[in-house]
Amino acid sequence: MKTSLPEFRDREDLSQADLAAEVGVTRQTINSIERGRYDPSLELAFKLADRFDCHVEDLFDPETE
Amino acid sequence: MSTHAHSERTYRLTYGALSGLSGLALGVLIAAGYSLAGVAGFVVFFGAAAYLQASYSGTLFDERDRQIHERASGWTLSLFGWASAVFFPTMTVLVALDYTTWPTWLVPIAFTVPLVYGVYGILLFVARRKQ
Repeated sequence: MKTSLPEFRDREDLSQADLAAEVGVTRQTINSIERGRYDPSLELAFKLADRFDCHVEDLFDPETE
Repeated sequence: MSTHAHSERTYRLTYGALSGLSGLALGVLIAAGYSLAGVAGFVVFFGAAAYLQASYSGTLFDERDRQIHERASGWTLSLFGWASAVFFPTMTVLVALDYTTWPTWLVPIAFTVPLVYGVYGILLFVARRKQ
């Protein structure tokens, strides 16, 4: 699944570790999501969307990768 | 990489090492004839791992770790299942035809496999009922 998470993170100058701490996961999980190696649960996807004040589909595109 | 990320990695690695050591202490020391030392080693290392996890301020393990464990557990069960499906019927036939006898060490394993799958079947039923 393709994700725009790195772009959203960069816009706010947020590190993977900082974002991980905010949404209650490990830094490795954020890293895996950004590399397309792990698809987050619905709960985590909504938490991330909530953190960046956007829709889940703004962060994740299931049609690609 | 931030200090937090380094800390998370260090904690996870230490937790893994302590958990591994607890299992090793239990298995190796009991096999070597030091049963009480084995249990003591297990309690100390496993206790240290549990303390480490409890004392970490952030999230040490999350949904991705759970998924990895579930996948590894599934693979382990499949591996045992397929190996048993080939090995035990073959052994039974060979024993029945007097080509070999059941080795003593194999008997508890032969009983453990159906026990594991029996427990799995029960828990599968419980899990299905919950969804």
